[in-house]
Amino acid sequence: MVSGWRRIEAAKICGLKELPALEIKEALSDLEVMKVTFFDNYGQRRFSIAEKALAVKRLSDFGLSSEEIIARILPLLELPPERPTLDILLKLSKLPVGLEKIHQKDWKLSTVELFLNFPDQEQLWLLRLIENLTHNQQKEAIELFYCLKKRKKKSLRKLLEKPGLESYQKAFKNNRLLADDQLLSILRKEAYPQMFRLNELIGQTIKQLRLPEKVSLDYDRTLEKTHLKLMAEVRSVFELETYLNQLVKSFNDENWAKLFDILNNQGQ
Amino acid sequence: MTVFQQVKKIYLDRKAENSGQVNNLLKKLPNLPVEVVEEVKDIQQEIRLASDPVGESKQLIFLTEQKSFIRPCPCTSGCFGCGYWTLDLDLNCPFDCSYCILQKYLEGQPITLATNREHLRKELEQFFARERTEVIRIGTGELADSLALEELTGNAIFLADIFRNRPGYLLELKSKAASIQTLMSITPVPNLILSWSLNPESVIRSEEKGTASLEERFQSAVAAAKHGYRLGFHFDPIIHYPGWEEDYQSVVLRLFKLIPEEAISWISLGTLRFPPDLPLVARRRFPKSSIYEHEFVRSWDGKFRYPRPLRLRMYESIVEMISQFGSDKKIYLCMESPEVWEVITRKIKKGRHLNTFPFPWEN
Repeated sequence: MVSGWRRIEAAKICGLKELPALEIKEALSDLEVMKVTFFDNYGQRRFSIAEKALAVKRLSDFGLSSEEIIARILPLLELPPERPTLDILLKLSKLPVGLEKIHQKDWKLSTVELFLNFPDQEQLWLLRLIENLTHNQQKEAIELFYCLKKRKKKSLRKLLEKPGLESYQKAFKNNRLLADDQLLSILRKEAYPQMFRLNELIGQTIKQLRLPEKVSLDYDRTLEKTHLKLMAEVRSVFELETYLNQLVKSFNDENWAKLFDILNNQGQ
Repeated sequence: MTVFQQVKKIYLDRKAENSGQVNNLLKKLPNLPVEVVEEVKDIQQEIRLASDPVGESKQLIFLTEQKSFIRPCPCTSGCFGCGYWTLDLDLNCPFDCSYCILQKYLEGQPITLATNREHLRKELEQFFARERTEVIRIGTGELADSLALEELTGNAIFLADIFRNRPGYLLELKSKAASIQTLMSITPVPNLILSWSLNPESVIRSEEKGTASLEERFQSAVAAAKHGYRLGFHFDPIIHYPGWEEDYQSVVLRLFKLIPEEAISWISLGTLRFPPDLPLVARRRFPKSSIYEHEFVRSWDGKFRYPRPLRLRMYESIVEMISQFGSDKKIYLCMESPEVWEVITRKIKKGRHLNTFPFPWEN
């Protein structure tokens, strides 16, 4: 039996005595059987990167050449058909622990590649640390850790010596599971200090403006655009007039000028 | 060792076997295996088997015919463009810069040399016949280095000859190489601008593998200016790192010490920017480089850039350095937003005159 175990079980339950089958006369090698069963399954559902890695490893173990995997198998798996992809998949398939976690959170190839750049011990710790985060949070955490580690030329342990990260450092030492939004927030602040500081300053300045209720200000958080967007929820001309009058009165507030100074990169 | 000595093999497109340039090119590359292929895909398949496909693509030459050569520079959406035209005679580059977008953009394309230059001549004749209201700037440095393979292709002098006596068209040859021997052997063409990318020597050493040193670029520029060529310089990409300002100051000082100001036609500035999928390839290929580990924002066109306040500071600083030598009016920005342009133009204080060339934004 090369393929169709579940179909036979289903047929039995339905009370069928006979089923059409394709008899393969020639002897199939282990590799050929593996290819048939894998692609029979692959046609039925989406495979995670971890599953793809294991399949590629199995095909490689059964003797399928690297050239054939790159040229024929990787395109079928919807992965870039080149040697670096194969190298990453084989490395991933040999991961001592954590493959299941990567499968469960459906990592992308790019996240796997960054993750595999960490030394073994840090990989283990990272996997435990980010276990409770969502797919996107995990991706972001790995990118932030990778970037900070390289930028600061420090190990993860050293990175966590920063004030505010003591609890995570303790977790690192004790190999405990601990990760949350707060960690991501601290990492973001660390990775994007300039944008964080400016956005914080803009947020504070907007608050100090004491805008009328139901009037709000928005702006481009990347600070590429320099304009403000003013929004008001109004249900009548009277309301509109009231809000506009309140706004006009607030123009004496020096925070307006400060806000535009920050957006236009002037002042401090 | 010339850059094309790194070439391992030549592939010849069957459709181009009898093409004009093939024999000339093969003669200059003796002792290299030559394989005739039906299409570029055959080579790309081989390139993808290499552990470093991008590096491999730089060691293989593909001789083929190009269907067309001229197109408007795509710039990027939402940017203040400069009305440039590109002339894509070659594709890919023997140099290996960590920030180069061709690592992703060309996806395993070997160094591709056009063998049908006569077709280009015809296309240019049609281009020259078009109605125009302004000076046209056109260059070959978009998808390749204009001079890196000059000893092999002779494309620069071929183009120089076509552009001679076409005063309304400025041909720019943009390079990180020092190979100007062929151009020094001809009478200079007044509307040919030889231009070099500039970066501090430390950046060249760490991020621009295989390129000429800063001093070699300057010495080539000096020789070209003495010969009578007009020059352009591109501070692009400007990289931010501790001590960047002092380093760029040194480059600017050296530039104006060596090059007569009147020989310079234009200077462009552009800070590092890249599409989101570039860092993955670049980090793999250049593990020691840390240019991608800076603070970036994803800007309006999807590319990552330094935050605008930092870019402005960098531009303002370099404009200030250049303005001390009276060349600020020759500056333009590459792939920048109107918001940044506005501030920098104010900085230049309307000093721009039409003695360089009419940029579209001056109209």
